[in-house]
Amino acid sequence: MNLNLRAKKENTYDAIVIGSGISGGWAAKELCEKGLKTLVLERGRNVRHILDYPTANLDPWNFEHRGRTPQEELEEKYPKQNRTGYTVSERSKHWFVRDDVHPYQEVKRFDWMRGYHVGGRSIMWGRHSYRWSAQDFEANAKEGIATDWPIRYEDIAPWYTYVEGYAGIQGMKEGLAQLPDGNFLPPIKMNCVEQHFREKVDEKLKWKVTIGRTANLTQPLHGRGSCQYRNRCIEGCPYGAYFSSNAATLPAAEKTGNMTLRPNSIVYEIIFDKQAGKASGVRVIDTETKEDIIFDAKIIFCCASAVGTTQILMNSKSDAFPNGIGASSGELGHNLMDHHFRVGASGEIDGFEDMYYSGRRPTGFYIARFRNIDKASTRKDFLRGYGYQGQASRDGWQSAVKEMGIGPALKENMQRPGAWRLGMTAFAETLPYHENRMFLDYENKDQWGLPTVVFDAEFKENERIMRKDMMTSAAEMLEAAGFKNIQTYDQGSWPGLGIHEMGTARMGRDRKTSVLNKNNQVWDAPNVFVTDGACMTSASCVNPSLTYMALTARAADFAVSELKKQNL
Amino acid sequence: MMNRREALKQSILVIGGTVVSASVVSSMLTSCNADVAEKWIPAVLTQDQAAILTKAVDTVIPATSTPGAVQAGVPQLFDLFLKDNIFKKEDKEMMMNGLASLDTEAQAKYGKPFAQITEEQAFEYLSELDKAAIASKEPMFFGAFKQFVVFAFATSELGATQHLQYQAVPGEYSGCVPLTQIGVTWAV
Repeated sequence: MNLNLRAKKENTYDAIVIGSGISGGWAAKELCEKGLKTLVLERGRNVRHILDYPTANLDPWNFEHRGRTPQEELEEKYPKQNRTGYTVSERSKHWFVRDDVHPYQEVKRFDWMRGYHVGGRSIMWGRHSYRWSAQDFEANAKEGIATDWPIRYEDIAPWYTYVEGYAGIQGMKEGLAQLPDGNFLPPIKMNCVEQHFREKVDEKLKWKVTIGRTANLTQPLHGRGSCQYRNRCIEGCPYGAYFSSNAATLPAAEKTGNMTLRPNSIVYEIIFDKQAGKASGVRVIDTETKEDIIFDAKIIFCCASAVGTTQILMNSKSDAFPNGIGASSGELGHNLMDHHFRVGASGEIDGFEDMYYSGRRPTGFYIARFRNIDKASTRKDFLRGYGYQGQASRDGWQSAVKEMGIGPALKENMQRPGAWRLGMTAFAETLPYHENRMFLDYENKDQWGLPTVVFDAEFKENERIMRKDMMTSAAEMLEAAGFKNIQTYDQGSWPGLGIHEMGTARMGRDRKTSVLNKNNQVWDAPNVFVTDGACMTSASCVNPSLTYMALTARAADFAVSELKKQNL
Repeated sequence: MMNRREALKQSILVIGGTVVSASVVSSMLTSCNADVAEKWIPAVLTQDQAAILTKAVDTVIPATSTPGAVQAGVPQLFDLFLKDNIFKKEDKEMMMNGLASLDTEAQAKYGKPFAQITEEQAFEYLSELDKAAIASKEPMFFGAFKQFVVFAFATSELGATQHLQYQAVPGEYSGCVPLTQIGVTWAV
């Protein structure tokens, strides 16, 4: 079946974008708007905005099993994807890969959560969008960890402003150095108890509780509607009210007439032209026709996710680069990071029994990092820090199960909102460890004959020590704000489950210690750009997607200006 | 949007009313529930099991001034969950054994199968199981069963829209509203 179709002219573009998720969508938009004929290759099926969100308008009783999934299906088709505990439901399982069809291996447990379809994880992402701080870009250099970022906050700040303006990020300005303010839409409101918590934590501890800054529109923007407060983002939004490639960037790219979107196209190799000293194109398997096709382009943007992009680079072997493009530094596939989380506390509070809320928010609160941000907050026992996501709400009808009573008494209990409860989970920075890595297994191949990914990564001492502080600080805040029945927890955390994979093709200042330069170009092949999570040199403790957006827009701008100068 | 919200607010006033006593309403509705049970041909349960299940469901969430769990199709959902293996294996066993034990216990206590004891007897007996399940640290049949009935009722159209309240498209978020202006618990 190796037809190797090569209709040179027909298959030649100015630019190729591999992947259509958050980074790929931005690459497509920017490159198309700058006039480049751009081929966007997506390994999964097509997903049309609104038309292909099959569950987005179903009421709870219209889900055959009220959202639940049969046990055999969980065990046979989604044993790994179901490790989140919430994604393989009737609401959203169609956005996650089947593990039996898309296998991977684990030397150590790694929870690789992914969706193969147009839009990728931009459809089901958590939407939290925070700027990295100046400190985040400087920490590696200051502490002598891994390698230095080749850029600083000033390099990316204007690009944050740019992508925020298009994506639409709601939030409150707080004036914090460790969590820089952005170009925000009006914020979604906190509820009574969260407002009380914010005030008390500020008063007693000087820590900042703010609204979770998310890519949800609080007013219409660029043809997309504002949030209707259904909190069903994971199903796809019929109003286009949260940022996804499908709702925002791909339609913008489409509008230029310069985009060719090709779903069902697995890129498995970037072709390196040794004489030209750069990549000439990509090899693709068409999953529908089984054809093997070559597409050529002047520049290639790798936006297939950290692991997906690294998989392609590693498999791009040639005489010049026998271990793959980008492997000459010895860092390709290494320094794999994710945030560790699932530790925190919750508590109940009295005094707000006569208050309730209406509407369902697509966010909660966020607590900005407060450890190791200045001299006074410096810890001797761990490096870096963490933030919290959480929310306050009243117990619903579920709590009636544990209250005494059946019959009319039970029905009354169900109708009466229960206690106000506030819970929070910390999300923390993981250090980049060279030995935390992914590699390819050429013995165990997938249905396309491609090598499968193997993970060998773990959280270490710095993370473990930090977790204790993450738990006690959560309880400390609840106590300061007058909560009772405070319960702390650490449910354990494994790499991958934060769904923030980063670092496997990191940026740096030296080609000997990094895969990419300061403009996200692969040192080995300067017309190949990596702008997804693979490029990250450290992990920060904030959610990374906004930074991928900004880095992608910045790299696309650079790439086009270099093309115009005929430098690529 | 405003019309929808107003309509929902008004419906809340109606459903937030007083709860009629169990025995009065259950006697009114016995015949109605019997009709439902007769027409239903379960996929997995036997007719005897279905009769025990229906009576237990009706006792846990009877029709009052708002619909009950039998009208909301909770027994049918239970049967569907069995058929499609929605319950975990151990939960399924606990449920089936638990339903069977309702019958043997009713025979011992009241000299009749569970489906044939009076409403008052069923209420008394299941109330005892409820107390025991809440006091127990181990998972017990009745705790799991009550949880299922509450879940199935709250996520049904009748339960969500007539006993609780449901807004498909809220349109806005208000974080601090007097409870009296809202009424009963949101279904979601």
